[in-house]
Amino acid sequence: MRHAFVPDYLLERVRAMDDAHCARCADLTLEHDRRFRATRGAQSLTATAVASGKPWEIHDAEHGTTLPGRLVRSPGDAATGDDATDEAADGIAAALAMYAEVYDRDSFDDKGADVLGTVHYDQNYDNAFWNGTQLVFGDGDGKAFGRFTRPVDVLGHELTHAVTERTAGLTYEGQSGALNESISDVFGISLKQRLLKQSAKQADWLIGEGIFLAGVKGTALRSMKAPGTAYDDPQLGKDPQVGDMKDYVDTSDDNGGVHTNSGIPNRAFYLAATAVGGSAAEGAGRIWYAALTSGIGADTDFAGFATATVDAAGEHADDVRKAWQGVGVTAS
Amino acid sequence: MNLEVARTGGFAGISRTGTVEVDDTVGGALGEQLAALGAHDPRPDRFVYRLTLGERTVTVGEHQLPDELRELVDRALG
Ligand SMILES: [Zn+2]
Repeated sequence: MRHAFVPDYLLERVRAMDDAHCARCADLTLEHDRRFRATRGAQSLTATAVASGKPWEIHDAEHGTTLPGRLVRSPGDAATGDDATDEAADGIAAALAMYAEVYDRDSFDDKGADVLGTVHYDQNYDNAFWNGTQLVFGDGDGKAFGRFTRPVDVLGHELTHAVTERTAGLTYEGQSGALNESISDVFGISLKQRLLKQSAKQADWLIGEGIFLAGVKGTALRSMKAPGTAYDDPQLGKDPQVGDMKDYVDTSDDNGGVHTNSGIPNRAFYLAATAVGGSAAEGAGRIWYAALTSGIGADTDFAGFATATVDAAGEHADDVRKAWQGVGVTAS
Repeated sequence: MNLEVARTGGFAGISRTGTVEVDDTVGGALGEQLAALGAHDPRPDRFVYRLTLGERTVTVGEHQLPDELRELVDRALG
């Protein structure tokens, strides 16, 4: 792999994640301690009881498709030296920490569920997904795509599919599907910017930055700031995302263009986050999280979600309403 | 006969298409296999496959593809 040097921002990211990771482990140990005491009276904690409270586990599919694969890293273990394993561990720990610290959410189910992640899935696999039980990451094809664990926003995106499944349960097709996709990008980008300690205004708003290998004409998979501009490559084609309701793509591909039309609510979030100010996670992200968990239905469309965000925005209601207007969506 | 494959979706949302030639015996069995695939069940970030064999076109998620069909589809996409 192309690792000639480690840029400063990456070192910073790793440091930030280590801190978040330790804080999270401490939180979970305390929480487990509390629960244990509640159920077992004043008995002291055993080592086994503490070990069973693991918030995440990384497994290795060893290029097969059997899940979850061999357990390779748990909290408290040192880095393994395998890039995909360590990126998945750090990214999942950081995503759990963001959900706990910013949104007061205890894992994807809000009940402290273990997060299972499998790396090295299949061969030449250009994808990552949440299968309803666990997260799965491919290594890419080694030509156009590198590891899907490399951009931390991919980790945040996938864990957020689990959060959405357990909250609004947005149906994965058409507008509700594009919203489901967008919400994963929203909290994926919020995680990335939080680790980079960037404000919404400073950030580049790129999803999947660094996933393309040398030779691909593109900087990332998606741009939330300027949908449709992330890549334009002779082999891969041009980024097909749209960023305005007037360009909404009606198609039967990709469950109704969920990765294409998600550019519309993605850009609304960019506009809202920069208007609200501060960090994406703690500014507009809190509004989007409140809307997601406000009891909206599984078939919520863009306008319905816009309304839910305006309703959740408090003093920022005008900023949020304008953000949606900026992409051609009217909140009622 | 030809099996035409269009793959859409996945995290990256980048589409790919390809074709693989199958002989008539395989084609007959393949037709039955395609007919037996259930209705498309959309799942987050899973690839969506549109498979066309002769007059028949079916759409399914990657999680719905049996292993041997998946191998054929991978060959079509090269
Ligand atoms: Zn997704």
